Amino acid sequence: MAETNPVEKQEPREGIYASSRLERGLIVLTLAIASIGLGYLFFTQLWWKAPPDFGCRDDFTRGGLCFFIEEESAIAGDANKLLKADIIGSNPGSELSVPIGWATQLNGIFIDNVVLPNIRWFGYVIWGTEAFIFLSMCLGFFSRLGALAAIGIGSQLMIGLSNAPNEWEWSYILIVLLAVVMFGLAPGRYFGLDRLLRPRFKALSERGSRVGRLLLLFT
Amino acid sequence: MSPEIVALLVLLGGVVAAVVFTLVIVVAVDPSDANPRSGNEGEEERETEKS
Repeated sequence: MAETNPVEKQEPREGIYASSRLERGLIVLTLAIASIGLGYLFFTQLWWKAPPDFGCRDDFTRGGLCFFIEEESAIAGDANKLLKADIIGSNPGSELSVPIGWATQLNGIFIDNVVLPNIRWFGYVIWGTEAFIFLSMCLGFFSRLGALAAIGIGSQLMIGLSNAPNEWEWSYILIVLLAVVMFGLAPGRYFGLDRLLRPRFKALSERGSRVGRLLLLFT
Repeated sequence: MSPEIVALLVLLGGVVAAVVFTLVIVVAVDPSDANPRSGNEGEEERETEKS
């Protein structure tokens, strides 16, 4: 399949892809800022839920990560909505919204049956995934895989916590949207370690290596 | 050792592992080897021109 990297394209379509060095530099700079910013967001959230107790107290029943997981479980059965637009201020409720009650119920079943009973080891999965997102986004290392993990974690938080008390739904929606952009652009190709890895994975892939093909997908 | 120090060491280990992995791949895989030549490109080109 032909590569369509707009930065490296030799003969860009006029007016569409970056043609000047300044514009190419701007693309790399903005992608690096966005990617490192997303990675730093996940870095800041690693500390209040650090292993081995993930900030939980009283035999993993309260506080820290356990608090938020139980919060998700508690509101799972509500008539939850997303993308709420209160157009007419005098009217109660939102004129526009997307019902996500079915998704929060499924999330609740997952929380109650998988996460909560196994929080002692599942906490490591959550912490490890967020740590990988930090490394991936800040180093540009397997950045497409890191962005995919960010979409997964962000979507789960968006579904589970957007309707929780004192939460702003756009905090989570924006994480997902930024992660979607990072997934599409794979920022490591522009500024990170993927820039070194990708040509070599491509060479492996073209020699028929399945591992090379798989690793190429992740960068 | 406090959990925060352990977590920081794990993250530092991750950074080092990512850099070492990249260096190993850079040293071990030659990117110019992509699309290895079969040795009969000239013949293939002549066949294409004929058709």
